[in-house]
Amino acid sequence: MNFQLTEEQSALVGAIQTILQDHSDIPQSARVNSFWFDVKLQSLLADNGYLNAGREFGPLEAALLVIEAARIPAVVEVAASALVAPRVLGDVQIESPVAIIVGHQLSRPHRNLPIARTALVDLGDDIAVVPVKADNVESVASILAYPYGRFIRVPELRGALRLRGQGSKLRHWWRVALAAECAGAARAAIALIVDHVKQRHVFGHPVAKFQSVQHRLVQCHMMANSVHYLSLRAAWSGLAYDADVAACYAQHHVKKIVVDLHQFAGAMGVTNEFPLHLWTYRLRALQTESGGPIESALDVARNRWNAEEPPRQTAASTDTRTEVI
Amino acid sequence: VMQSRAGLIVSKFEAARLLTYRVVDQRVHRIPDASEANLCRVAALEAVEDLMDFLVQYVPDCLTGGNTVLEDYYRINIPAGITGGTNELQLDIVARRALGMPSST
Repeated sequence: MNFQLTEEQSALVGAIQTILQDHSDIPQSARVNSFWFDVKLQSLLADNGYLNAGREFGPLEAALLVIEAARIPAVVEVAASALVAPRVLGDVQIESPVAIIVGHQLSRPHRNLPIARTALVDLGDDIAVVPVKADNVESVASILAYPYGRFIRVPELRGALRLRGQGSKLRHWWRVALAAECAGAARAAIALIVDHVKQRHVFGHPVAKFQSVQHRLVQCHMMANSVHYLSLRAAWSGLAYDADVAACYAQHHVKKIVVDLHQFAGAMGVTNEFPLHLWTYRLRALQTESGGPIESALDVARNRWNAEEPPRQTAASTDTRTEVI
Repeated sequence: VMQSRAGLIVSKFEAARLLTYRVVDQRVHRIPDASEANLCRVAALEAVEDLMDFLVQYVPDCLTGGNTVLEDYYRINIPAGITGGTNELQLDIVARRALGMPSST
């Protein structure tokens, strides 16, 4: 296990950081919204090939990009396009952004559906690849900091491209992606609050001077660092067990991170003017996806004790069988 | 419930293991330590405390002669948050070195 990035990985991360730095602010008019989708940045990332990182480099490099993109206050869809889709689609090309949808809940609101051009529908054993038409999606207002929307007419899946036997692979990489996104969002939120408590004074001292505040922020810092490395390990190894561990750890610790960070932001933290919610309410959205913390914990336990050995599903494996039904 | 708690504890130990490997990796590459060693102690303590609690709740017989390995594990880890620098010291160090917090009041 090597914790140091290669020169190529460092260059990739440095390059996307430079682009993201130019998009690290949101327009004044959008400051009170529950989220802001940066259309220009999404196009920029697609046009410059960053969303192909999972194909051209590998899942670890794609996870690094997901983490970086999750650190900015604006929403861009990188996780499903750059990390998940290449692992489950093989050579099949689709249009991004991508929404991942649970098949038996098609009529519910879905994260990223209003911006998506393609939906990967988890049908259990299989995946359906469904083009998304903008005029068939209505936006749904939510405090969660992603665009949410539902289908006006539930799409017909019978004519869709169907990937046989790829459902478990989709859920596996969905967990890696959500853990990586949690890592980036949590780190950004913690950085914001650490800065805030250093500047905000109460009882004649900066809030950061109180040990009770320091200790809880260090615990949040430890959790965010853990999710960061667990998600990268899961992307590197390609093992379902590592993905379950990363998602379980991330989703379980969302509560602690969100509650503590809002606590230390004080009353500002419950307003939309203060940007904390742009990260914490992404964490809340990710907390329940792909089974949520209970299901991922059960999968960790099943993998650990019930299976003879963890499944050896490697990152390089792209034995995708496709057919149109 | 028991299985999901066990799965969560495993994930906490995996996190602590990874943060510990990171410290070893830093030593190998002669990278100056900001406070990563202290941070992995904090992560390990959370996992250890959860496991001790799990043992008492779900396999209490292990503390009354049912399993000497688990009983030893429990006994050895009673002072886990104290030995080698208390957990509070670890938290203070990380707050100062990693998060740039001022000395506490």
